[in-house]
Amino acid sequence: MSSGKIFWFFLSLVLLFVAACYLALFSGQVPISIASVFDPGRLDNTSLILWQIRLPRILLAILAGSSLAIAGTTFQGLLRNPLADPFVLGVSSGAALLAVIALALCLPLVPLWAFAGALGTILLVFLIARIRKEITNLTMILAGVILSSFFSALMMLVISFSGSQLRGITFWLMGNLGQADWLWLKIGFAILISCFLLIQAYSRYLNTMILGEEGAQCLGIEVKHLKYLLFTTASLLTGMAVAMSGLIGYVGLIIPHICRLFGGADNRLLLPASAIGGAAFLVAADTIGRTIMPGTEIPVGVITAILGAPLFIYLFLGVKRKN
Amino acid sequence: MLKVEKISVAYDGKDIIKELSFSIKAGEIVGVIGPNGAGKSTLVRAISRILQPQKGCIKYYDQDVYKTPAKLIAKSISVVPQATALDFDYRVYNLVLMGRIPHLGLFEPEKCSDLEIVEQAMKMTGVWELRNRFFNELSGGERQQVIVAKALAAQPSFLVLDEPTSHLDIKHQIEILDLVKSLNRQDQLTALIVLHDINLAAAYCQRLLVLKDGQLFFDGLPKDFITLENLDNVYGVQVKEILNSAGQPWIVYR
Repeated sequence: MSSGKIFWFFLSLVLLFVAACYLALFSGQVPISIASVFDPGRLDNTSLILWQIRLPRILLAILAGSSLAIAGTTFQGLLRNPLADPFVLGVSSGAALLAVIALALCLPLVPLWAFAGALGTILLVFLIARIRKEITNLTMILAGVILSSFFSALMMLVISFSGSQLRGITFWLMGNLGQADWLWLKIGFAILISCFLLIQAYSRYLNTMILGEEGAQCLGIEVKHLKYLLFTTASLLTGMAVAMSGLIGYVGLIIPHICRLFGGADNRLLLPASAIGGAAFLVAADTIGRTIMPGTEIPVGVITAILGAPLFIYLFLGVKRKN
Repeated sequence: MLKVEKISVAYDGKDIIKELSFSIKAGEIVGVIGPNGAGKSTLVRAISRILQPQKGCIKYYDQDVYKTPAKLIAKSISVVPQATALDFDYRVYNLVLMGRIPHLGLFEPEKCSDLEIVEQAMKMTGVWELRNRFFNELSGGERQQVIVAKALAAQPSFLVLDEPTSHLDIKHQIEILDLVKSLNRQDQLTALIVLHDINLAAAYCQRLLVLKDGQLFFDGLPKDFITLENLDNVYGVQVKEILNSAGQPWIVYR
């Protein structure tokens, strides 16, 4: 892609992102105009809604959207599979299981439990995949699928005994950005930025995986180390996103697809593009979720699935037709 | 330049190569032939640092390739696989640019000199005109030329080609092998080529290594290997006759 095209591609993404944030900040049940932000007479009320409710929520959407899209791009690159998504290794189920247990038992620090679940799962996936000595994409995916279904079953068991906590758990499982908290946001952004920089640093090596593991190895890449590093980092991002916002599907699947369609498959550009695109998509989806039906809020995971599934089919058919 | 010393390679619990030894001098074009399952591709994987031999060692200029950092080996030894298909489409230029990775640090961007080398490799292989095309849009022959360009972009002193012509028509087969021969003449590039076509191997390689059941059956000049008896022994085929075309043997199968 020429530098001119790269500029316009990123400019469009940034404009979409800014537009989504603007709409999210100024739409909702209490109408706030941009002029009222600068109106000293309404400052208290406005600032409370903006700073304590809408802005943290937008930041959490940015955090989760970017994390899931970066993780999705990384998994797709490593597994050379356009259908891979951040949940492919079962990390989300592990995170969700511990979060559901914490919610059912009314334990504090739910995100921390979810995060621990995510890390524990990736460790288990590596351990199971290593049984056959060689860690291949197939053994990783198989281990992920097995753990995912096992954890889902355990989760259902916990839910069936959860009683009064059922509604909270269900709402969390469908994706919920309403729990934003400044401290968790700061921690989350620190994790997001560090993981993004690490993956971005290795993006050129990630590109070589397109040649197959042996092809990458012939270029002097230590593929085994690269896989350990990037699978773990992408799982950390997924775990963090699930820990803070519940299960939000499709962001990590369709955003890398769309960005690849317009910007090409070079991960050096695809990773930052997906980060911006994922953030814009989730901010927009959450705004739709909380404004489309006055008086009630549709969980953001439901909106991303309703928007994502048809969009994915359309993209998939489009690519098929092109080929 | 390359010394393979008594290597044994097993894969999935099965011995593929047994106690294999040979050496290659700088500037040689060596052909590796043999029937299916003889261990040709396994040998390529062992040399290219993918499948470590259980016994023996492979030395490149007296350095054990498995004890030398992968990037250092990748700077000197480039590999051209049988065929390449990409799951995500890449532009040809970006793909050839990957060939420079062994020479670049993790955070080091490509310099002008890297881009010049890539351009030169693409012009040499005749794919410069295709640079803005997508790889998966190309024909099999063009794809293989692009992959050779990627291998040459690393400026290797030793090129390993694993059945580079197996999916190509005769025109593209000759083009690829002519290119290797001209690089060998101009730049003293050393090459190890796995081939199935014995006639082509005899025409392009100065020396043949013949593998049978994971062991070295023959090491020497093509004309010395190509006899009715050897062909029967290695491949189990009875050929009609062996012609002599301008000093080179040519097998007539029927």
